[in-house]
Amino acid sequence: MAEVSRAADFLARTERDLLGGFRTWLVLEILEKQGPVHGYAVVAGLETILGPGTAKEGTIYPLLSVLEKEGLAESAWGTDGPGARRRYYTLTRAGSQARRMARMVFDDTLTSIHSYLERDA
Amino acid sequence: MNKILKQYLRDLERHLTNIRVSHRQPILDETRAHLESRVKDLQAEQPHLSEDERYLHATYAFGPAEELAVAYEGDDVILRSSPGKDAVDLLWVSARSLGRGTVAATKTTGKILGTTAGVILALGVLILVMIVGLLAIALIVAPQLGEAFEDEINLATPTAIYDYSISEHDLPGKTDVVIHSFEITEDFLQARGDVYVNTNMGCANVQFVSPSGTTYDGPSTTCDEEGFILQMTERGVWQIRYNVALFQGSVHVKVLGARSA
Repeated sequence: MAEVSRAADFLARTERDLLGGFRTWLVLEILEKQGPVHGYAVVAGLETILGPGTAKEGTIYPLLSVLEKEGLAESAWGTDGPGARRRYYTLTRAGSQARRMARMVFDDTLTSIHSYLERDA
Repeated sequence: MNKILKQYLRDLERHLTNIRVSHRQPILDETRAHLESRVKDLQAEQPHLSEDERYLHATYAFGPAEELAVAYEGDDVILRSSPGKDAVDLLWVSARSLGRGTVAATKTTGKILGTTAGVILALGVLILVMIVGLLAIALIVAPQLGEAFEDEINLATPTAIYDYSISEHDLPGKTDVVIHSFEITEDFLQARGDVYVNTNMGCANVQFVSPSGTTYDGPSTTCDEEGFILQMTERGVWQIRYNVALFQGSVHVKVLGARSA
């Protein structure tokens, strides 16, 4: 029973770390493909890719704020009709470049991992 | 506004105290927009839920307000740790250690010498060390405090960048153009020009010219202009032109800037 619990803990931790690492890159991908896009749509996009409830929705907004401060994204306020105003995000040129580089790192890493696992098997 | 949403936003605002004042409202607006969108979607997905239940669901999925505030604080805090603060901490620890050492030395010296002179000498050294320490702390801490509350101070007291008044007695009673310049530096986050014109006779038209050369008139370029307000987004040297023609009356212009929104 304790072993199952330890394995479950490990799985939860690994999943959280892996998804956490993917998240920033995937947000860049969503902004590139769908931008200009508001935070709610970014969350919806992430849930489509990673599955619902993989992260607290609110954590996307500080991440978008960081991307903006780092010059990778920019935002403008707008409205979709009645209700609170929304902030729409797009990638900057630096953001597009960062996305491409992140994609290359992901592809290379995945290829290396596959190669190692197949060789080992 | 739904009471659960209101409570959540109030809770979030309460936890955003370390975030710059100008950044708080956009965070609250964005959070509200997200939660309202989620509730709208939930209404379609789960129509059996009451409005309060939908808001509870939405706020839970969004995450605890406190955690969200901490995530925002990562790169935007007023009271942030800095090398200066580290220096203060180091100085304080050093002064405290030195103080303790001196007290110990006082006792030891007193025992060894067994004289009042030894104790007085050691106490003198202790007092001297404390004075030097306090002076150093005051010199470093004072600017730190100033920096920490700079946002609030600037928000509370907008700076006058340009202030000019002319009356019928000062103005030439003929067609003339008076040109002034002023600079809005990069450190101003907001700047606004307020123009008030009171015409008794003739014509006075006030124009702002931005650093890039764009000319801004009031709502009317004719003589019945009463004044206007201009949000000034460009930074650099602005020009203001008073075009007067047989004008009698008064013109007052004030440009105010705030280093925090």
